[in-house]
Amino acid sequence: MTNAPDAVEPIVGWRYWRVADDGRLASLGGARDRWLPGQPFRARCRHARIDPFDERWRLVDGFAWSPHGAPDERCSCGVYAARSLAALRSRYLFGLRFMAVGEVSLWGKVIPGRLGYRAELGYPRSIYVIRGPGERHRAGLGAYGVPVEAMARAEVAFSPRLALADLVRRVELGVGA
Amino acid sequence: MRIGKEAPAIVVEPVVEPVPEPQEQPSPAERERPAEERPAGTPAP
Repeated sequence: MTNAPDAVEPIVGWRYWRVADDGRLASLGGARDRWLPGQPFRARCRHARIDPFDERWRLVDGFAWSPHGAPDERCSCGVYAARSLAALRSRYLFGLRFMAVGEVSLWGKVIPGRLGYRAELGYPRSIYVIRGPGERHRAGLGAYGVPVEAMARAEVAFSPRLALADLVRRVELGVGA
Repeated sequence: MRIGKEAPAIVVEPVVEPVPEPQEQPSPAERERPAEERPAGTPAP
């Protein structure tokens, strides 16, 4: 039996970022989760950061209590990305507080979902800052070595039309979230 | 964030490194440095 990979090309998804005060990309979910130029962003489960004696974590839904790598099927950890920009824009909660959007390469262990992926490793493949307020970050984001462009917020933010289309598709397929 | 119903995990091992060489970016202070403060013999950007 061999350990051959399932794919030799990175999977490409879409995600939102914030831009921190130092001009680096940061995950929306945690200000400490910085994406550094020239370094893959490696998923870490919050399990590694919690107090193992704090029993309240056992009550958190979608969270694996025992030590594990990220992503894990029993947990909700991992580098998140949507399958497409349309999928990213179809969920309101995906894009609160974002300052940049772009394609991201995903590799390592990857768990595919209907709308997107949870991955072990990620790195930006293209970055779009929001035209106007985000453009002051454009030069600094060039440090990532990938194309950096500007787009209007209306082109990349939550879209009720796409959300409705996704809802209709789910009803037709008879699937949940 | 939820990604919907999940499929079995796969392993992706890129043959080409998906992380490009980082680009040297001057700090904001360096970008705004007046020409006359440039060290002698240094070409203008």
